[in-house]
Amino acid sequence: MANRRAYIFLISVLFIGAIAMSTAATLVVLGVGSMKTSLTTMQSVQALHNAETCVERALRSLRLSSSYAGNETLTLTEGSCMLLVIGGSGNADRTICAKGIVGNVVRRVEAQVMALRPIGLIDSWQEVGNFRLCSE
Amino acid sequence: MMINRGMSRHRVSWRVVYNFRIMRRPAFLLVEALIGIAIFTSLVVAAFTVLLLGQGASIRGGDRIRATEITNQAIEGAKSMRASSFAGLTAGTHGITTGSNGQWTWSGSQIAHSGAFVASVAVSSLASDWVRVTATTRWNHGKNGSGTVTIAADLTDWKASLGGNWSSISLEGSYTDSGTPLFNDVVIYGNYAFVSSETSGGGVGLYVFDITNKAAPTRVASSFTLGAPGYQMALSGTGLFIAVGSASDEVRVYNVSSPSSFSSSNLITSYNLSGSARARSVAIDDTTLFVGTTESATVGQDEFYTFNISSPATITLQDSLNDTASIYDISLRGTGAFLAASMDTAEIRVANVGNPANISMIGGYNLTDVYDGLSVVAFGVGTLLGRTNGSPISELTKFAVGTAALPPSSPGPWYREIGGNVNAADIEASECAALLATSNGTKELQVVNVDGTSLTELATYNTTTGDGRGIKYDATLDRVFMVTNKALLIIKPASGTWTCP
Repeated sequence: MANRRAYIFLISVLFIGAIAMSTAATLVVLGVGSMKTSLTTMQSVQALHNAETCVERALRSLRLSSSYAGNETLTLTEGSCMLLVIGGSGNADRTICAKGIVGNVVRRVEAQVMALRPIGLIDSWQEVGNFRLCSE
Repeated sequence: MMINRGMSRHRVSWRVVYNFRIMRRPAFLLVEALIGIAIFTSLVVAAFTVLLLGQGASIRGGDRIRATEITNQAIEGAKSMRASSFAGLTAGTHGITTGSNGQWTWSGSQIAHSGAFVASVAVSSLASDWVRVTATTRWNHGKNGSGTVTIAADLTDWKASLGGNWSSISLEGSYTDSGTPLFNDVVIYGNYAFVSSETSGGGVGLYVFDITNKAAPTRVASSFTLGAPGYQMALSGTGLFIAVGSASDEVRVYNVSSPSSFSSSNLITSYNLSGSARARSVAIDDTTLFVGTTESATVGQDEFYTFNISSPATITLQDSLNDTASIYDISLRGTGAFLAASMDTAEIRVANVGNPANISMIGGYNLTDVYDGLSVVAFGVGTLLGRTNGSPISELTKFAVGTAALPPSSPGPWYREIGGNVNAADIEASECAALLATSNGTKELQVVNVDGTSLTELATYNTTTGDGRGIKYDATLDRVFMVTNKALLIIKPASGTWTCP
């Protein structure tokens, strides 16, 4: 009888301890997940700005020379961006497609340019999941 | 072991065994209790430690997300400042916040946000038209951790005018007709100009010019005749919409994809407005065609129409408004259609065209005296109205853009004396210089600074080919095309960079 009470006590302690550890472990997992999410969020925001940086620089290059072809990768402060081949020719009706890359995060921006000079006139400038104006 | 000598031997032995068993019984309560307490304490301490670590990680993750949002907001604020003025992105380290006017502006060298986050923006100049903006947010929450989030972006001044100086203009080329066709309007399609005209002076209603060599535009498709006066025109893709002074097809659509071989066979479709030969003004916004007409007192003959032109081969009436005025010009901004009108109590009228199938007249603005509104341009920071010439008035009016659709009575309006009718108006790409086709005998083309409120004259051009009757600015060519009684004039700006005075 006394032994049985001892076993009950010990097993109860072990059960309670296991539950407490499981709860704690869950919180650890959640914490790690939170850290990963925050890192990915930061990378995602930077990736979008990288894509837009590529579009900005492409516009500048095109205004300097309308024969600028794009199709290059630019290394930036954080991550990089990739310009696809710029569509159209001349001063009007050009298309620019760019991908911003930080770590494993990729975001895409495409812009339709009505005119480059005398001032840049943009028909559309938007983030897309998949390019519609360019072939990737 | 106590032995009671007075007891029997059997009783003594049982008592001995009983006492011995009591003495040999395991001390389970104490040992197990100690072990249990030790185990439980270890587990609790471990769990508590892990709990704190997990909670700390969650807090740090949340802090980083919060900092990322603050940093992103700072970058977007810098982009907003760039949209207003690239020159505002001065090199250095700045705090960024919204000012009293709701616009983003620099403020000190950093800004503290709630939750003890401190954000700053570093701007470094890479070229006169290229900066790198690096936003950083820092926090130190003591035992809850500290950190930094940095986001960078490049901004370029792709809206800077690389075109000409509209403070100094000159004639690049012209076509002067042997007769006096009384040209009315001009639109540009690639390297071709389509020019409408009256027919009373021998004009053919619609002309086509090859402007590849802008120094010497040449007429092509010279056998084409519209058969009626042509008034305002608008382009949608390869479709040319023209208001025609014809009894039965006041709005016509022509395919202009081959301008050099333009002929009557290029007519796609037409629309017969109620009444006869009343169409005067047209404008297009996406798939909606807007048409203004001369005033009619006849019931059912409205003055302002909207049509669906999503299908190139059809013009489908959506709605119309009856008004006690002729509509000479139409300019669109947002959900408003601004109309230059002949109404004595509202020379500029405003219609709500947010839903083209259900349009309504909002109202207008009554300017001094009764001189008609002839031309209107709605642009980013204002609305221009040109009127017929009148000694008591100044023919050019600039309205501010108010919170409501109607032009506000304050601030402004502002006025400029033109010395003639403002028959047509347009604005160049940077929206600094308004381009006015006028009946002023020595200044048929007037270039006016409409960026501020001073409405100062920037440049003029005098032609001997008659009044300025129609005008169009082409952004891709950076040229002004003005038509007069007998000429198509191509006006160019001076070379060199130009900033709005």
